[in-house]
Amino acid sequence: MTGYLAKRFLQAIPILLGASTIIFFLMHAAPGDPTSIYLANPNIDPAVVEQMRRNLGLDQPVHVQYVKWLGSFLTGDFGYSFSQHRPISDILKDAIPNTLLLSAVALTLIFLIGVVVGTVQAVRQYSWMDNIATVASFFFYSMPSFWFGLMLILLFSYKMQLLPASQMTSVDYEFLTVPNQWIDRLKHLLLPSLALGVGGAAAVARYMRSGMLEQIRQDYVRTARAKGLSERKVIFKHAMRNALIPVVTLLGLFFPFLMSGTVLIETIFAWPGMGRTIVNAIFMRDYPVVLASAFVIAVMVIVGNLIADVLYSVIDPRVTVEEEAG
Amino acid sequence: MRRKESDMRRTARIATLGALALALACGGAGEEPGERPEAEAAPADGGMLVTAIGADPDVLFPPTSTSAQSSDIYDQIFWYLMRSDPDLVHHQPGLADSFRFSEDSLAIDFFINPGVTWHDGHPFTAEDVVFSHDVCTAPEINFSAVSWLQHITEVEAVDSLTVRFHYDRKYMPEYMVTDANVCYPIPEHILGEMSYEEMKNSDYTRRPVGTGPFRFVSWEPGQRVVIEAYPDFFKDRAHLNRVTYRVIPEPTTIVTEVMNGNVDLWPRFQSSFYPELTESPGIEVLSEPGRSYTYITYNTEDPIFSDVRVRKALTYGLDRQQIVDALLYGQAKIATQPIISIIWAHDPEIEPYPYDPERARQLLEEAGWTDADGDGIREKDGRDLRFELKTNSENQLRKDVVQIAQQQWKEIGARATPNTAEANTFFEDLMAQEYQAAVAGWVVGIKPDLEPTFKTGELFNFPAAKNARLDSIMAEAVLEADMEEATELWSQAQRIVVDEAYYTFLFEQNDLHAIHERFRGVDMTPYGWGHYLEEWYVPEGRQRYDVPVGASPFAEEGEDVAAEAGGVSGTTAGATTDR
Repeated sequence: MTGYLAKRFLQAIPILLGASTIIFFLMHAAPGDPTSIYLANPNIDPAVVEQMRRNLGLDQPVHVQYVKWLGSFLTGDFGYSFSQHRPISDILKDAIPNTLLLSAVALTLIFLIGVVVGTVQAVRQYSWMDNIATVASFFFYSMPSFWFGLMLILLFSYKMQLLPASQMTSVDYEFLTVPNQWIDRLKHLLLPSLALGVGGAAAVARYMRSGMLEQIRQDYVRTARAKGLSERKVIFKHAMRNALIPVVTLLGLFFPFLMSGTVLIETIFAWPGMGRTIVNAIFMRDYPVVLASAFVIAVMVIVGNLIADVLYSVIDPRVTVEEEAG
Repeated sequence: MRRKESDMRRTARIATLGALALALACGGAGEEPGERPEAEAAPADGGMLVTAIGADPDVLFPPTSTSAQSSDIYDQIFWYLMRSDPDLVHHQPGLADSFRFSEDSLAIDFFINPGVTWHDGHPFTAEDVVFSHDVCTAPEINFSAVSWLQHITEVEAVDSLTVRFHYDRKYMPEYMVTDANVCYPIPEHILGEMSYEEMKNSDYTRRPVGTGPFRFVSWEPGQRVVIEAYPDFFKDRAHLNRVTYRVIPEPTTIVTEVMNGNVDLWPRFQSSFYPELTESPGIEVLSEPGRSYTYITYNTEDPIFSDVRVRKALTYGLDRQQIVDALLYGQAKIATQPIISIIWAHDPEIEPYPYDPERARQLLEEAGWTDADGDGIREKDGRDLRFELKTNSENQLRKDVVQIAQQQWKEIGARATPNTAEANTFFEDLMAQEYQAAVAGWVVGIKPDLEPTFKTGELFNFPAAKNARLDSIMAEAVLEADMEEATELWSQAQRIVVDEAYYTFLFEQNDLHAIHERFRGVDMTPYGWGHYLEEWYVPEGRQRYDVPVGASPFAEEGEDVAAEAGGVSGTTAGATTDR
């Protein structure tokens, strides 16, 4: 197992390096630079903007900037943000936990909702519940998450005034009692994680339904029924465990999906995470922040995939990671 | 912690019906929107204002900050020696009670109020002002408004409460005072020992200690910045206990939070939300003259637009009132000239070109553009009157203007093809004169200065105007020390710009602010919505949040720094405690 993990990490290095390099040159190829927003302002002396460019090292040729950036990057120094005037490691320290929290809750929702709905559909195949759930899951699967997010805000925040539409806590959070602080946080989490996860949940439901249907027809299920096990036991203990195997592999696929989702969802719900950090940085042409965030997201995706592979071996006794790696 | 109204609000939200009750409670039954009842009683202290900002501030350190979100906040934490009057040219007492020009008018003495203290309790002195000037002019700091300081040769502390600014020449006295007040005083006792490099990256830039009516409390990046009333302010303390700036990037989300009561103030919102917000109960929309105008610029180096008659014809052929009514719900006035109406040098006698399609057709005929083949498009020398009308893709309002112009110009036989580009590319094209016509806008500074935008060869001279007479009048106007003379000169310069029709002046847009009606004493100025924030209050009983003003966040625990004025104890406390 350790050997396998080490190998996977080594494989990740060229991927990360390549991705960062491509993003570096893409960012520099985009029109404008971090100082452009001041250039279109007659109240700011062009000499000041020139000085700004020198201070940021933007007056040097791109390949020189690349070597410099790579050098400090490899030594673990992400550098300074142009637009926020603080170390990027500080920015990431603020943003990463927030995104992880949001994604983790979304992922939980995806699997809980997906597995439950898919199982019910399979067990009650062709019932009205199954039909409605099928239509609904296609609907939610094909719907853009930002639109769904806005609809959630419209319904639960604007019309019903039940849940807050933005941020992680209320403005008077620090004056709440501890249990109320928890409730406040949960309320703020609900809408964004739902918006982020609903597409994934619909997909999981589809996989779960077909997986369950396949398992239910298997001989071992018939055997289990024949030996007089209750239907509940047959479904949950025998069939479901096997049907879950393909679903778990989806976990790795959902991670990049969630990461790209946060870009929109965090902006709509004013959630201070990685997605918003990278969007702001792109608009401000804050190259070092874009690079560092893209790198972190790439790492998260790779780690997510790895976790999925490891889980796969845990759930499916037939698979061991050594075999797969070889 | 006890909470009054917020508890009620929370409970009310549990039941959907409760929400309705809340909306009614906020509605101030039968109150005319936009009309504020007279202050019920003396202004009460307490309560909180929650406002929305579209992005995180960069830093809260005036010399290096360049973001508008930051200045909204640090304008409350820092104060100038003299405060700008809402007329944008005169001054009111700030940290200094008064000022006096020297005999030769080449120096100004400012007399600091002896009661002024930094938020950590240290007294504010003339030395701080000298120090701040050094910081603002240091190349390492690269202060964005450094050009305003170009005529100040030296800043000198005459005594601890008198600071003298020396100038290299005389110009308009009002602006000599203004220029002495563009660099916020920052504390020497905290920053004095640092190198400029250390200063730029110090904790202080994210946790400032100022002299203004509000002091810094906390900043959760991407979430919110909180400031609170500084109880030891040398004038009356700010009435509001707290102001919270919530970072919400998406306008649709902000509008929901405003209607929900989770945001009390949405400053400078987009006009497309105007109908929705004006009809919301409990919310007042304030419409104030703003500091920007929108125009169409014509590239005079283009064969079509080198003829002034064509530029004029397109101006006559555009119904600007319709644009104002349709796109801005009337919350704008038709622009007539580059110096907008809130600036003293604005010439009210310059009339806008009327909407007159007949006159437009006539001018085009005179210029030789005729529709001989009857296809509805004029041509001249075998070339159709077709051109590209550019704008930047991020700005919906400008894109809508392009659509309307395209429609209306069809009527006079001109065909405009819309073209959009991302802002950076767009401005680069304008500066390089790589365009034919474009819809753009300026946010104007507080001083009238047309040279950057109309002087021959200037970077921002988008129309590529080359008018020697205009250049010389502008050069004279900039140097003119007498306000009346200057007004006359600017008027002459503007008449040339208008006659030459380098621009079609479209509109001066009002700043629209949505605010919950419980706030009183709200007086917004073109200088900024929060210029008089310390005077805002919520009447007793209407306060929604019971948030206390805390103990000084800058004093070390159990230690009263104010009592040890001059001591070293408080010096670094502000910069090191965690956030």
